[in-house]
Amino acid sequence: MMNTRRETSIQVQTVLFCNDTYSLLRSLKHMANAVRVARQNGVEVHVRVAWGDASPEPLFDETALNEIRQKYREELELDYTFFHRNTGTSLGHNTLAKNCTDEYLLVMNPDIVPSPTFFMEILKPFEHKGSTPVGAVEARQTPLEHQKTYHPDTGETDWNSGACTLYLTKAFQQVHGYDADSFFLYCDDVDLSFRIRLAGYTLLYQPSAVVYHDKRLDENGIWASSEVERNYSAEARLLMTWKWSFPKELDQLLKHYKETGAPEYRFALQKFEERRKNNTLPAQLDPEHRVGFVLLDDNFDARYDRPEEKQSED
Amino acid sequence: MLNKQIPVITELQDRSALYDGYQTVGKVHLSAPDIMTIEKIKPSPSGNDAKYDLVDLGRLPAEVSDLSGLFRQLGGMAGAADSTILFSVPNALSLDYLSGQYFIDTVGKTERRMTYSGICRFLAENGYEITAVAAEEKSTGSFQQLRIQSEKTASDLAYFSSLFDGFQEAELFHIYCTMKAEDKEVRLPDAEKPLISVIIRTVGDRLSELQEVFLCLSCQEFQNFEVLLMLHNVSDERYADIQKLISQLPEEDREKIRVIPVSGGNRSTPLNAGIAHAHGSYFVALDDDDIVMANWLQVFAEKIETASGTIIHSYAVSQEWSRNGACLHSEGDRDGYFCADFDWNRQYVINRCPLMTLAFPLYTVRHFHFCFNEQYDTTEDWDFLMRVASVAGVTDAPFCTAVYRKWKNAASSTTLYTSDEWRKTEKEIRADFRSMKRIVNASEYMKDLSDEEESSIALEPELYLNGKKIHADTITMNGMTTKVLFSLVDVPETNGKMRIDPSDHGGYRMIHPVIRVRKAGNIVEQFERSAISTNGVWKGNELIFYLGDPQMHVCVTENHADTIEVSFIKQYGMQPREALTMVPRAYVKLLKEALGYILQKFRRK
Repeated sequence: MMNTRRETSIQVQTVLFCNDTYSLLRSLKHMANAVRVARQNGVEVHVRVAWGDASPEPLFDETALNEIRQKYREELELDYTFFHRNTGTSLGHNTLAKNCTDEYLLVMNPDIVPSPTFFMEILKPFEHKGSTPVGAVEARQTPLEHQKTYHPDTGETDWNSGACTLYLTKAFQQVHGYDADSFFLYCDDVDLSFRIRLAGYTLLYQPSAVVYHDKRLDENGIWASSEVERNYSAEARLLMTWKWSFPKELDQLLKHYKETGAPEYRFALQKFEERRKNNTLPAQLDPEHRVGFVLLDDNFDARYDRPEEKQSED
Repeated sequence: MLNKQIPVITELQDRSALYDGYQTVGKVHLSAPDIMTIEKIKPSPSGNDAKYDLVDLGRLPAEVSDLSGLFRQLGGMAGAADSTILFSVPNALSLDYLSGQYFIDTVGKTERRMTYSGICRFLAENGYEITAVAAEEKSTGSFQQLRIQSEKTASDLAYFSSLFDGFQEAELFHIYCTMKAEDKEVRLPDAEKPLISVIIRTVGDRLSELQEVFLCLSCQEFQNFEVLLMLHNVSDERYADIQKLISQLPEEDREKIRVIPVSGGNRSTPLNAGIAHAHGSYFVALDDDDIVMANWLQVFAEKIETASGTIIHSYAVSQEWSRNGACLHSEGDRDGYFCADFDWNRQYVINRCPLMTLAFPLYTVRHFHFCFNEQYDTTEDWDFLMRVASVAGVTDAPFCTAVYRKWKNAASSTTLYTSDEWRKTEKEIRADFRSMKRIVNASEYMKDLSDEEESSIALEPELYLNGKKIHADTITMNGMTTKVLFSLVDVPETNGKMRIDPSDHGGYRMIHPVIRVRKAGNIVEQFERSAISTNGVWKGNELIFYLGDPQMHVCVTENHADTIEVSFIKQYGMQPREALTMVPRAYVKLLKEALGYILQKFRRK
């Protein structure tokens, strides 16, 4: 339990796109509960929820919003912005974060539900003063944990998932948030993580800060991706290897995509070649690979966190 | 509020006095169309030391459709106050009513009357334990009192017959009951009854995991459930920790939870206690380290709508996890080993249905007194599943909705017991399975027919003469008799081996089948029964085809026949004796046992 009575301000921001309002209200209810529990345990948090709605039509009208605000007036504030266009998550989050003056910024998917002790646990690592400042702390997702490599004692990790990560607002704004020009759906969080580390911050994973992430498996126990997800995942792989200066891996991927010819590979190749032709590929970073990491497996799937043994060498 | 004192019969002198000054102390909720309220519940008569709780049911018992629901709610009210409840039953007139009927219809009216034996048995079935009975005689209004040993159940009709003999002139019976221990929990009205009771067992040493279980339950799409948190041998300190966890939940989630301490026994004990306290129609069991997806209960609930009464079985993945202090961490990929339908043959050998993938019908569990075997320290869930499944059957809901965690560095039932202990229990359970009988669903032995096969169920006889296939020329019906003609005009030589396939399907009787060979309008050959070889079974003049692909074989001697005529009466359905011959021997034994049991019950009556 934290002993400080200093109030910690957090902007909790979520980009909405045609979500069912049940999930959003469920999330909000548990958010308010987590605030209540934190305060009861001496963690004074001031939470402002910022919803950015990228749906074609607004998901909430002013009456509904006022009812919600009234219901949770003790625990949180609620800001709602209708974007009038589908911004995608990256641009949506950047827009919401642009004028954020709160100390912390919690980037959260709409289908995330925080546990009662979430704020108490997610804030803990920011208290520990290490050699490098903590730039972001990622929560553990349940029932399907987002598997990743991290140091078992310190929680240090190579990148944080955008599903639910608490950023130091200063760090997020310092690197200008997500690269919304390059990444539409995937790897925007990995890229942001690498840039925050490049700016001198440490990233942590906090398994005791638990959130429910409403994911489903198919009848074979596999998380089935949609066509859109496959397309943008394939494209993101090319962009990551390009941007983080892994030319050998990029060549391997391009060759594999061309030879295989799967629909998502054709989509990714076309988009990548267009960018190359139009000179809109992102600027390349970290040629010495100080923070960036791309490893292709036998199926040409990419992982961006270093295997455990390599991490311990660092 | 009902009081705790048992009424003294002899003080029931002036019944009319009891009807003054009623006041409402409770309501009984009944399902539509029986939405009625019991309003007249009277406290003790003033000036009398004896305490009475009188519920005037009026004509309710004769008119409600959910009589069981009514009595269970009354019993719940009494049970909650730990009170004895007295039922005074009028119009119990004669031994004629001891036929085992609960109620009889009077002539010309749709009216039920309680019989003495009927009400006794009915009470017993609804959770009451009869502690005493008394009868009030019509003429004198005096009482005779009998004490019944509580272990005597009301369903023992022979015993009650002997009791009844002394009260043939009685106008009113008084039956004193208490609720059985397992039924003492307040019974909720159906409208407030949850569909599913989630029973969580914990010894209180996995708080992080338990918090995660609560979080998973909070996020369920389907919210008509209750949670029974069974604290098994939990110390005061851990009890306080758990209470703190619960206090941290949102209010509506807290309200779903009932905390029930359980002492002694083994892993099965809290589950059995949970079953006794559950209010739902179904129960599911969670260990305090299980994690489930938001559609976990929704999948069960949807299947219950269409397959109520059966066990509902969903899928799960397994995954290795490790623990670092209070931090939990998944180690490996998810494994779809438990993503498979319930398979009887496989299940007798190995359990592939983790407990959290199963929803059990509570009515069946209670009715047959199923419980988790407290002799077993491991695999008690496997044993329980198979015993309940043998009666209730299993319906698969092919959705993966849970994660079964296999701990690499933390205690679990896998690590608490040695592999020898696991093997020993598994061996014992398998040995029990060898003598287990089960109700067989016919669909397990019926293949799904394609549209083409469905259409072939209609009679489409075929004839094979010396291997050559000949389709029926005409099929005519004359009354019940079917006549099929095969033209042999184009067949150069008609002598030889002939096979007649009357249909593709079996399961019917062919009465008086006749096969004739005609030549230019004259019968030249009619086959006797002894000349017809067949894969059917002859019973007198009936040829019974139990299985598919029925065949009749004859040998034709006429070389210039022009027509083969087959006539018969076809009847579907089997006589019981015939059907028995279809059943594998194991089931014959089972059926005989069941019949013997039923006959024995009749003799006792």
